[in-house]
Amino acid sequence: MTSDRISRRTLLAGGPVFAAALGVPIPFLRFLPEGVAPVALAAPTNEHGLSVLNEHPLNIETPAHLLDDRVTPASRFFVRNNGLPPDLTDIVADDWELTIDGEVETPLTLSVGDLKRDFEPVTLSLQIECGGNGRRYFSPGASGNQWSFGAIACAEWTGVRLAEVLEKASVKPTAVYTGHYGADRHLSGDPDKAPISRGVPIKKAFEPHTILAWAMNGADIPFANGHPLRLIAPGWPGSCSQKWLTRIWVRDQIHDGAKMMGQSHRVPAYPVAPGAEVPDEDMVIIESMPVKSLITFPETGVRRVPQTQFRVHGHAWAGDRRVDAMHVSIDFGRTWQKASLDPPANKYAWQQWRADVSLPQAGYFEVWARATDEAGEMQPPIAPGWNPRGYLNNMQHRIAVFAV
Amino acid sequence: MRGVFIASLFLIGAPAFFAYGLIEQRLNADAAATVEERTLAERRTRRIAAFAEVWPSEPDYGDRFSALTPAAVVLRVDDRPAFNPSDDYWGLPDAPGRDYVSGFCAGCHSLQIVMQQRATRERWVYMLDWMQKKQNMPALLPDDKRMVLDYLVAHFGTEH
Repeated sequence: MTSDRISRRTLLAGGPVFAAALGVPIPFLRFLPEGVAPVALAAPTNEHGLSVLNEHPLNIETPAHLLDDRVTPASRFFVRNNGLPPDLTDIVADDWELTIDGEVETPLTLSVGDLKRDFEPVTLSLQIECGGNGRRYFSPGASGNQWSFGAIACAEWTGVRLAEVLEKASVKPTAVYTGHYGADRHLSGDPDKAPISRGVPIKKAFEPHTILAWAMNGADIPFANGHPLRLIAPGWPGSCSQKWLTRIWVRDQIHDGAKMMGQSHRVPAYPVAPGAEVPDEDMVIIESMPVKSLITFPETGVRRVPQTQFRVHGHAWAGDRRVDAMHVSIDFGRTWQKASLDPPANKYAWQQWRADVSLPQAGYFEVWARATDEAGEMQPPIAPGWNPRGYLNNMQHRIAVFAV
Repeated sequence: MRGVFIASLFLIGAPAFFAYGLIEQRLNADAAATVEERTLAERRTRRIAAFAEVWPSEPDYGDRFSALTPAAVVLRVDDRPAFNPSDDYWGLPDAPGRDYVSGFCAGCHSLQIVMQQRATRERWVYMLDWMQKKQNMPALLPDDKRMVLDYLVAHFGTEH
């Protein structure tokens, strides 16, 4: 194993050395479905310093120190894909069409141009976090992409409230849930399969911060994040915020699309021991994400002079709730010091916090951060509530600091 | 009134006495520090700097708080076979089942997602069934499936 690690380190250091990688024999090439390129040329980080967990489908997370901005720039926005992005070589954004049907009096087909013209645009600072953020720290391992802390972002989204569009379609009293569809393609190449189609209860669909967005940070949404149209259902698992949105099917039952059922985006209805296999029928749908925070400055592993004050800061968020208090510890959680905490720019925006700390002597220290939400719930020091798919890990974020 | 006066004297006096004690202690320590003690302190400073130099910078979350976990083993993702695009088999360890894993799994997605896992045998059974039933993976013959499971559990199981 040692030699493996050394060679991997060497590769990591090499970076562009991967460019020379294709040209090796590929076993079982004949098994590759037509139109699917062999997967190779993986790089540990992309050109912006983000960590590439998987190239195919593309899944990228942002190291905590690169999430320092109050408004996450496009280049630092994590990417989560269940399938392959749509083929949009010559798409005209304003012509992109969205269908609203199902339990409505007036089914609608609206272009992005119609949305811009016929409804009142809003710009909101909204955070989106992958439901599996933190999965890496569950033990035993939970299946899926092994996200650490970086599948979270908060950008300024411009669009229209879904509630206004649903009102125009006149939602029937029988409506219970939404079902979202995007233009992305299933990995197997099967055109009849959606890679992911999730939904939200009607109440969440009508929540005034649930929007149909066509712009992020004043520009087109990055293609990898859903251009030209994305539903934003903030504070809930990112999968509720369908990318490349084409259809919202208003349902008279809980939506049963791809990755709504089984174990996807679900947790056991009761706490289970780590490693337990839970039958599908005991798994319940995740709604709001839990309270969480990040230390975005300084970067983990920094050095600071002993007995000298320095600033640490970051963000905190709590799904549907507001964060009420923020604390930091420099002694592995034995004592906690209150940090100052800003109010959110609007509901569902992450909140900025800062604290000045001083390390009493030379040595190895960790700064731990702990947010508490308005209901009094706070982040645990360990991965809480083991579940088979590794969702909802809101453990405290820590950075290593050497006092030297 | 007199009680309050004495109490306030004590409130001011106690910390002052305590602070004086600390200062005296430090002065004595500085004065008493031998050459050996000072060089030891310097070596420690240098060692901390050296630790800082080689530290991977991420605190190790893997096992520090696993005391309550039955599988309290080191579960660091980094310790397992690593995805290697310049290897014929993308870094998959050479053992029976490797051809099937690279053929059946990499048909649709990268082996990066496979090689990240630290799953129990039950999880791997679930994943293979899910891939076959829901994600269009071709069926494996029972013997081949057993071999694939053994391979996945051996290399990407909870012991890694």
